[in-house]
Amino acid sequence: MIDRLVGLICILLGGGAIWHAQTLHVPFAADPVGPRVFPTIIGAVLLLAGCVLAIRPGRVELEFGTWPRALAVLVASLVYPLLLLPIGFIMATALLCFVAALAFHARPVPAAASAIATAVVFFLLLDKVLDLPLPRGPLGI
Amino acid sequence: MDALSALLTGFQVALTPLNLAVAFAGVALGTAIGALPGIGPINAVALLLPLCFALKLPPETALILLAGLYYGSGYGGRISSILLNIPGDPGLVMTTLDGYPLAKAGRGAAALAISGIGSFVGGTSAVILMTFLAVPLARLALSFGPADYVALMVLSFALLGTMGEGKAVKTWIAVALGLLLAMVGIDGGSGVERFTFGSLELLGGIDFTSLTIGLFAVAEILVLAEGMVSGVVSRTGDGARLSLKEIRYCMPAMLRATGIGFFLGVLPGTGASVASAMAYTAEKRISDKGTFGKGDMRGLAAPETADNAAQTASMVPMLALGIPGSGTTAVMLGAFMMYSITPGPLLFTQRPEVAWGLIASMYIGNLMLLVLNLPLVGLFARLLLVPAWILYPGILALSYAGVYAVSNSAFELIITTAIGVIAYVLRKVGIPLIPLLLAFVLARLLEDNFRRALSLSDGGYEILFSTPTSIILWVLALLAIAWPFVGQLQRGRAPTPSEI
Amino acid sequence: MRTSIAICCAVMLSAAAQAQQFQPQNPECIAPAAPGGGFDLTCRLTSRMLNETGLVGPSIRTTNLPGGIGAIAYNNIQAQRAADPNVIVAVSTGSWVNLAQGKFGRFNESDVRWLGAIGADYGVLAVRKDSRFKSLGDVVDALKKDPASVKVGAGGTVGSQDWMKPALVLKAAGVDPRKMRYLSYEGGGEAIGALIGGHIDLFPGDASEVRGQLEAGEIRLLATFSDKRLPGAFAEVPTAKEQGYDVQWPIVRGFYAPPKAPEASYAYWTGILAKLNADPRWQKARTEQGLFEFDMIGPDFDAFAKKRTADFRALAIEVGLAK
Repeated sequence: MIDRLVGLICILLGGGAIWHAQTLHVPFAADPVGPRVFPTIIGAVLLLAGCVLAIRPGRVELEFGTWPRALAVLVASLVYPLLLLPIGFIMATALLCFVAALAFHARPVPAAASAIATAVVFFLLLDKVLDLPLPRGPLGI
Repeated sequence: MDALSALLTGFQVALTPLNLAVAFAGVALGTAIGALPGIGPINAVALLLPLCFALKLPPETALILLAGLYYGSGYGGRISSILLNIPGDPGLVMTTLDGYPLAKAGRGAAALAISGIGSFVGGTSAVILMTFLAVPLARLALSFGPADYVALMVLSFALLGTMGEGKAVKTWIAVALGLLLAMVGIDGGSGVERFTFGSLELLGGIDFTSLTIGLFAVAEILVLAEGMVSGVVSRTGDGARLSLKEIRYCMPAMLRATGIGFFLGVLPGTGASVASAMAYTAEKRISDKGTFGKGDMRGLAAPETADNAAQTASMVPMLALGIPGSGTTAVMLGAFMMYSITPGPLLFTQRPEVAWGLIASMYIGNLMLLVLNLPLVGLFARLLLVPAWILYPGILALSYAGVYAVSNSAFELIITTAIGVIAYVLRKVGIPLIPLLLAFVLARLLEDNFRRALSLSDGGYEILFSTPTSIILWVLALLAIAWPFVGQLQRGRAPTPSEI
Repeated sequence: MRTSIAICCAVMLSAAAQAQQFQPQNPECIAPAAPGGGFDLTCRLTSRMLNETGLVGPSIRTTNLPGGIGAIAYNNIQAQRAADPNVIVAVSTGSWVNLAQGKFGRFNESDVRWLGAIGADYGVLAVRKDSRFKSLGDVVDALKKDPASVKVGAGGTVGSQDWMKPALVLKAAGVDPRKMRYLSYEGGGEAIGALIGGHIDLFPGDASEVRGQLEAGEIRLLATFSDKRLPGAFAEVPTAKEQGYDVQWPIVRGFYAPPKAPEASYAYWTGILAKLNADPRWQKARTEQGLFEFDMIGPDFDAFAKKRTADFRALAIEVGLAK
């Protein structure tokens, strides 16, 4: 069942790639092949492979562990880029590490402590030592 | 003999206390910087370049520092690849295949040691070749035309077939997805935007480093957070040490990998990531009896050796002809120019102390890398003693920080996470990630060279088989595809479809 | 020329007067490329020189904002720092080429304040040492006969600067640039390799990147795309103009300020750049980087940036690369 679904998605992706390649607006190409050929072939391979998988699926058991923990890490990862500029690198990174540490079964107090330490160390390392400027928050840290 | 006496002059330059200290500092600093995911040799070299200039270091000293950095950063990234299954740089992906299973079996320190030895063998052999044959080799590399590259890429894809585990059709899907991702961005031959969907950020294509970090670091941490698989448990003691017998066992693999790595390193355009991939897949095709991917020392030694051989070899076209073969050497070329040194055929006659000093320092840098890191492998392996709730959040944060520090782009972080989520799903449904990444690496080389070749022939396909080199490579590619069938025939049964 | 000197002096004088009114806080140079790229070196070296010569007191930091040959930085400045007086952004001719083709999003060349140039590289046309082409005229003749017989290869995509250089030659010779057989390489270095390896016939590169090969006699230059002959190793190479094809291609390296930067900071930065160009220490560093003199500050540079972008747009529209 899972394989059939994966196959179907591949068929859609492959078809989409072929369609995209055909609709490219090419004013002129400086070579005899042009930009459409490769995406078309790749799309066709994906489409064919998707068909094979959908017609002759194998047995795939989807196994998830405590997926809410992975979800927590994912949400923290997605929020992180949005927080970097408003609250600065150190606070955003500490928050990311804190959530991730909780997901890895840490107790809140040690998690907070290690998260802050991690964030500060990385800030010093990248911003001060390697001279790669990182965003500072409203408090200048 | 000429080269030998010149090399001696070079050692006189490289063995001054200042230059030795600088080489050591470069290797040590490089190892540390290389351990940061996302920040590879290019960034390390680029960041220290203005510093060298500001400190008014003489040119040969600055170049020795940069070369040490270049070597060191290659090694530093191996620590997380082997111990945590998280490669920070594209060239290190193959390292995880057998390195991580070794670490899981409690042999992390031994794996780090063989990786160091492989690097030393690859690096040093490459420097020896460079010492005596730099100019002819560089010329040979330049004669390698678009048609030869096409044949080489076909061979690479044929070897990719060895990577499939489980259903072959899923490897095909992985390859097609990797190729498709590589199509994103502005097409060089026409200036047309492909798969960018109007996004300015995607004009330059998907960043190699973001892809690697998303596929491996982010996805790995998501899977680990679920608690379905456990990370490595640190064990020292039994089996941690590397035996002499094991080194001997790996020697043939290392020598083959040196050849592959050196060849691909000298060619402009193909760098360490292509080299390590080809060395691994070729070695698997040659010597695998079902142990590769489960912690075979040779499966670790081969890509490591090739990686360093290629890194060293990529300096050959730059030193001999002033042509940068990779991003990092292009930055080093910039360093030469800042010192008003023109690299090229005249470098060896006009500024011998620079050219030979640099080559001599590569011998020293390689040795230093080994001496510095072999005693430390036990210490590095202790990284695993850090509790998971500190280690993995730290790696995640460092990965993102590395991506952000170089790009200053929130969009790049979101792309990285999105790739991580896709990779997570692909892992669940059994689509392998490594063929995907390798296909991504090879795609542009294949398409660009295919189109260049047909430009040269005005659309005639005969050009693809027009040189002796290309014919040899096509034959090798056919052999690589036919090999499993030959093996099966010898054992007297037909191959099953899943093995194709 | 005389008026431009006069304007230059006027700018410097007024800058001196206004320098008291504005001093930057945490000044920043944005390099719209990854560390190690051309923009990055421009920023880091200029910043260092400005600090070393004491022209700017507080230390200038370099921030990398890579993407789209400056497109990301251009948009970022508009959205987030439109009035920031402390920031300057590196720009080159390549940015204008893309700006002209609408690859910078919804913004155009009037949306920032052009500060000035600190140097320039020049386009050149290189062939292998044993090439059948001896002059620009030979190339043009061959192109007229059969455009597909001359294989041009360089580091940029179709529509990039490296493509535009030979395209302008073709146009000057009355041949449709779309007929050119152009091989796109990953970087200038790979293309030089392909030239020496004998795979391509023509390499429209930059003076700084071919100097080593020229001095070693590996390649010959058929023309430089400069107003006058270039000094040093290039003194023997005729300009395209001398050979009857008026194609000029300076690769200008300069800076711009955000669109709403206050007048005082604009005057401050233009004044600083003018003083930098006059400083012998900078002139030496500039030569070491492979750059040639290109003093153009303030209103002159503003007019130049707009004129160049408009020219590129005209060519891009003509061949269908832009609407």
